[in-house]
Amino acid sequence: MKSVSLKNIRKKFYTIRRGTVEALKGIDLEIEAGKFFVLLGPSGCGKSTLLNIIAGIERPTEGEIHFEEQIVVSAERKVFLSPRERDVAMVFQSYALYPHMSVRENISFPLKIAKMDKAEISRKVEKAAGILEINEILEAKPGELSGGQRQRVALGRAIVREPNVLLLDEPLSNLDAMLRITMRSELKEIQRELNLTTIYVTHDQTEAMSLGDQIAVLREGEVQQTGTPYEIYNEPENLFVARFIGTPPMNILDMDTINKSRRKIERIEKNKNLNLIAGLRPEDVNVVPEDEGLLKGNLKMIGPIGSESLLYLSVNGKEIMAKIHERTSFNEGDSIGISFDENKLLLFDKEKEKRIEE
Amino acid sequence: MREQKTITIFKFFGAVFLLLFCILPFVWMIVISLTKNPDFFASGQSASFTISNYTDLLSNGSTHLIDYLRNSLIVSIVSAICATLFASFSAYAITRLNFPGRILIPLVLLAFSMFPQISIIGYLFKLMTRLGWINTYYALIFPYITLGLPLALWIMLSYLSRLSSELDKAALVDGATRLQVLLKIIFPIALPGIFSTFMLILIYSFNEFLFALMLTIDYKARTIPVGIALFEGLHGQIPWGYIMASAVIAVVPLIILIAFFQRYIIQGLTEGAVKG
Repeated sequence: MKSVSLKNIRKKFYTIRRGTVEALKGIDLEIEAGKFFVLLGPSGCGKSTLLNIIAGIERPTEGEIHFEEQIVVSAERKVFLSPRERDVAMVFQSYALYPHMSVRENISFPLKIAKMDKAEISRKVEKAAGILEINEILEAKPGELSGGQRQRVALGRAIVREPNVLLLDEPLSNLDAMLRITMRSELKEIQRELNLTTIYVTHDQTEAMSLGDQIAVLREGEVQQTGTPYEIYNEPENLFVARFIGTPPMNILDMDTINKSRRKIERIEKNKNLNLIAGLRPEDVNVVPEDEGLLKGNLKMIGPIGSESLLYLSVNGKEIMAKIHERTSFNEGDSIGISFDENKLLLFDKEKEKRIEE
Repeated sequence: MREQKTITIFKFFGAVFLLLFCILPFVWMIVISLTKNPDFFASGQSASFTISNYTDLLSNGSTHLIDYLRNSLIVSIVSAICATLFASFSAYAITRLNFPGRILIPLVLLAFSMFPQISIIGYLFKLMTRLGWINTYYALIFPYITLGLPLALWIMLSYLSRLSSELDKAALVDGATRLQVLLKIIFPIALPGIFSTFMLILIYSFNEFLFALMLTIDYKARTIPVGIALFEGLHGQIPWGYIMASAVIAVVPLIILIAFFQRYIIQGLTEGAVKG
């Protein structure tokens, strides 16, 4: 278990079609030892490339990575430790199990490569299999296993070495919804039990929120924000983070849409001389009778999702979504009013898309 | 319903026709090899059964049939092993390592493989004479490796590019070196592909005629296709019975190999070519 620190990591690719592409544009991150750290971002944001660079599968064009005090890679100082020397373990989206080997051979592969003695290997394999509850299938081949079992085997192969850092590249995205939720909590449990420094890549914000001690949100090769799940959700630093986190996504309202509730906003606009737009989470939108609302609109559609309902509203031609816990007394097509607590509005600079605080 | 039936009937007869079309020459070969009077069909006689063609060939050392067979097997197996080995390593490098010009290599090889064999035979003969390799195994093995390599490389390329590169990454992270990744992970998984490549090059080298004709002189290195073609009859006539019998004998090792490993070949070919 080691802390990981990334300093100004850049990665440039050259492709024939697109010329030079900068996949990572100077990433700085501090990952504490024993923490569950999530790299979250839409596909193509460079998160997997970053993970590969930490693993030692790819080299950065610029920048340094330290594990505790030790430099594991530095483009400037020409240092590059192989994955073996870094002692990292990784779980892949496709699991990447070796199909010609049994589960036992798969899990013991990294130990055999490290030339550990046989008794020790078998003790460690049994222990890892015990933690993951896969003792029954140790002699099976990967082809005979279900998706969830394969996932466990892949995880077993990673934790059996007790690595410095555990890297996970979208490990749950190939599982069905139910299994994903169970595996999520198991993963977190195992991570806590073994106290492993874990870096987890995902595009699924629910997964990131429920697993991560810390989350870094990436977009187009840049870190948008780093923080706890609470901070990322409640105090997004910019419009991208605000919209990317939360389902359904945050409503973005321009000043024409919000007319009656502008006192606070007007004050800020005047003080800071900025154009603002406002973000409002669907769960903060209250649907009320028409004459009681700050805004007037129309209820276009009701979408029940079990314990909650999503209301699709139209206000001055803009779509607004509301998430409510009770059944609504309104019907589709009704004219309704919308109210909200002005303090729940998140305000953003319209040009720079940064969040503005009072 | 009737349409279904018609289609089934057409399919059946189509299959039977194709089967006969492919198999008849072999059947004919076997029939002739087992008759005393090979031209019975033309002269309107009835065929008389004998196995003397076989016994003569195998007992009479001056026909050198066993020598030819041995030469053929040695030359083709060595060529096939070498070509498959080179192709497997190159295909791994081309599909996995990021070096400049890696896409050019298979294209250039493909271009070279389109040279007609006949256009290089003159030069090759000169070269082999200089090297003193005429009538040795080397004279055949090296050209066969060269000729087989483009095909072998392309099959291995399409096979290896199908294997997820995450496997390589996983093994690297598990602490393996590139060579260990190759020998412990990639090659065992690619075994069907490697095997079908090996068989194709083997068959190609076994059947090759032109180079073998030009670069060998006698039973010390002559391969079986040339040996059969140059059979001479006692009184100048063409000894059809012997030729057919030796052709049957020549086919036997290949049939045994293919029948034995057929499952892998089919799997390998479709996996390499269709899904590639």
